[in-house]
Amino acid sequence: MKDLIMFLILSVIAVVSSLFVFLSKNIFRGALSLSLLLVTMAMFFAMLNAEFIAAVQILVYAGGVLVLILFAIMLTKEREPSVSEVTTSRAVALIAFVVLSLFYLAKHTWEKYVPEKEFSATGASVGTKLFQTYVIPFEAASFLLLAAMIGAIYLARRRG
Amino acid sequence: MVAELVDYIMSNKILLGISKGVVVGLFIILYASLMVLFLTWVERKVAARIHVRYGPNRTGPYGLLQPLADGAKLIQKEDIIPYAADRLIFTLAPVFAFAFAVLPFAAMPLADGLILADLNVALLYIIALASLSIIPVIMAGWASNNKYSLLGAMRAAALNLSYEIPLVLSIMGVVLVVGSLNVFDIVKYQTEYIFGIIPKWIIILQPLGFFVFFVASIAEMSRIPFDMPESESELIAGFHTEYSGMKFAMLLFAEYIHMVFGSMLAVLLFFGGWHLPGLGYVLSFLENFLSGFAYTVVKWAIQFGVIVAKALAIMFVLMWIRMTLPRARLHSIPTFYWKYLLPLALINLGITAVAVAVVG
Repeated sequence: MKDLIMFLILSVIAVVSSLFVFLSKNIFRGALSLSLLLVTMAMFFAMLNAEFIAAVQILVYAGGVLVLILFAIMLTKEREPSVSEVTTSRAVALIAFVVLSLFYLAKHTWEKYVPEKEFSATGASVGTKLFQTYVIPFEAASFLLLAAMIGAIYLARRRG
Repeated sequence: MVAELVDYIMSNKILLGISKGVVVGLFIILYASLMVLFLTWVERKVAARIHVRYGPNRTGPYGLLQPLADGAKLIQKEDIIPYAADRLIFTLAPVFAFAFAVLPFAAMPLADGLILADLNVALLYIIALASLSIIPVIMAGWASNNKYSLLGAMRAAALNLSYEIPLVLSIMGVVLVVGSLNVFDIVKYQTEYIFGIIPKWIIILQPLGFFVFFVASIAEMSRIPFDMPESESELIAGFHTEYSGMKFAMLLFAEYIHMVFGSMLAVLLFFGGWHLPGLGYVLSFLENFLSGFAYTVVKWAIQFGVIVAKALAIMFVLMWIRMTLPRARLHSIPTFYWKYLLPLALINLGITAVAVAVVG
């Protein structure tokens, strides 16, 4: 009962803020409501007994990625909302999105999602999984990110 | 009537949780606000002493009522919103600033067993919420539609990107030694003794880690020498140039609450929290006279007092630094954090990892 009420409140916040992200004509307000959405997602994780993931979600997305987005917006000069016109490519993208999501909704089985009781996501248990069970995928992902970072630095250096 | 109500609340689990949350939450907000009022007075007094002046000494004994006079003045001020500002975000920014400043206290133990939310990843939650505190600053700076405010907000963002990684890495050293993200476990670890005499506070085990943490948390509080968001000699008042009246007061409150938060975190992580050599004897002596709930309350009050006293000592050092050092130049700050402090934090982490692996 308590979980259901919390879930409903959070869902309304999540849906409204994610709609606002792309309906808002003011890009700064859009970014702020994206941060609200990210924090709400963290609360969903916390409700599913995944406190570690919730905290990391806030730390990385709301505290890190979003600050970068806001920083980039502040560097742009444009304060007035730009009016976006309907182009062919946008129309095609919208139709494709609607069709694909209808397919997905039709094929999806709506089983009940329940918090996993056996695996509690404490720092220790996530660390064990990450550095023992899945150490090779973890290292591969970090290597990929390192390559992307070096590439970005190289491109920025060459242009500057 | 009251007793029945208390019994009813005690019997209902959800009501008990809610009422505990309300009581402890109100206590935290009250504590933070009173601390801020006190700190504004202390800061002016310490600054005055370092400058060989008297400081506030007209309102009340030793000028102690000066914060209340300041508050009364700020309430009277006209609430100005610039014509070109984004009114909604301009108004929301101080509210969020205050809320984000208070929220990390929810996972901070105030005494042995006294905490609002005992999370097993408490430290991560605290760091995550502290990292959110940059967003209201950016909101305030952008919504003011003023070039000085915007520059202040951009500097705040640049500062945030500089200090965050060394800060988290220095805390990682503590986590590695203790082996837990729970702040209770961290304080419990520090109540032991080395050779039976020296208290096992983590600052003794990790002086380098504490240095990195302290320098990074000065930037987290955005105080001199790293008060880039404000830098009043270049940017008038930085991100809160356009703010007046109670909105300004709330931003000021948020800033001082960050200071309280940062020094309390330093106390809990590095200075043994509520542990004080010899305090255990006093508590067991008191246990003979008091019993049950009364003893618990007295114990909590004493332990909380120890934390606050240690935090005040750290805040004094912060004020001392503010009065002594000039402001660092903007471009030197990312260089300092990324090129000098980050390697130091990594060295500390490496040494700690090897030591933990060898010792056990």
